[in-house]
Amino acid sequence: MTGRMGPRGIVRWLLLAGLLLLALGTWLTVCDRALIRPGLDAGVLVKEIRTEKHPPLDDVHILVLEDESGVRVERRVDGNLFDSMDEGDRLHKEAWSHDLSVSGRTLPLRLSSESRGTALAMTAIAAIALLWMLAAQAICRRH
Amino acid sequence: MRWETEERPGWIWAVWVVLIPIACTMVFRMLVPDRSDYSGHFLAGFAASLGFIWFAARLLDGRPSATAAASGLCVLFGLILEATVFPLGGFDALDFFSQSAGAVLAGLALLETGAGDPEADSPDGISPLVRNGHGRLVLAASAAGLIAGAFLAFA
Repeated sequence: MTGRMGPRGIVRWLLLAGLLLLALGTWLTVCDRALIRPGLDAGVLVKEIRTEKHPPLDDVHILVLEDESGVRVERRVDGNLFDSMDEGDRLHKEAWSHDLSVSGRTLPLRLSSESRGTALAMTAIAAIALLWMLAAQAICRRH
Repeated sequence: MRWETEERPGWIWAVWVVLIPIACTMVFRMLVPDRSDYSGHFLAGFAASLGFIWFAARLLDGRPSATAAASGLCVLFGLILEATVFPLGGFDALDFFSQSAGAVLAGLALLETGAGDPEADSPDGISPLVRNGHGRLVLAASAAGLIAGAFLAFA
């Protein structure tokens, strides 16, 4: 082992960083779909369900939101959240708040078991890769 | 630019190329039992990338930069596929992240096991495709993983 990291060492840590970034992206995406991450002050203009390979298991739930200035944004949300609001509802929340106001009533926001499981699985993949890489290196040094 | 050669017991190959992806897929299945498509995207991303990156590593004598570039290309190709061929209900970022994790893990596995490094060749190897003795295992794992991944994603 040399003190200076060679090209292989640089690529190794680059790829591991890639795995961690993908896990982070997954966490941010599932927080987006649970509406935990964004700040909102908009009305529900349209609710739409798009089907995929295994309806209703993998249905895509879309909300078209319109803010005060008329800007429309399409958001993909979790199914349970989709079911708890109607077209015409007014949504309000601060970014990263776990409380969503839906036309005056407060709706607690949480990750669905599917979202949490996906984000945990991606984190676990990065951890498995890191742990086995370190273990394999230790085995190679002893060999 | 060559990489540091080190002694590697042969079975470490099999763990990186076979056991680690199986373990990761099982973790995915356990944590997200109702959505086999995510674990399918991961496994298919790993398997397809494994074959491609290994081939690139063989062509370019296992240079780490080639492995990294091939992994990046696999991620990019997955992004294009997800955006154009498979967007049934719209682009699914979780499908893309899952298959990209498979691609990056395949790159890491091949980097760590010295794929394409001529100094890691077995002395009895003949064909450039299989001469390092690990090519058959890589191609078999790639084909089997692709089939299993497609089954999980679409079944």
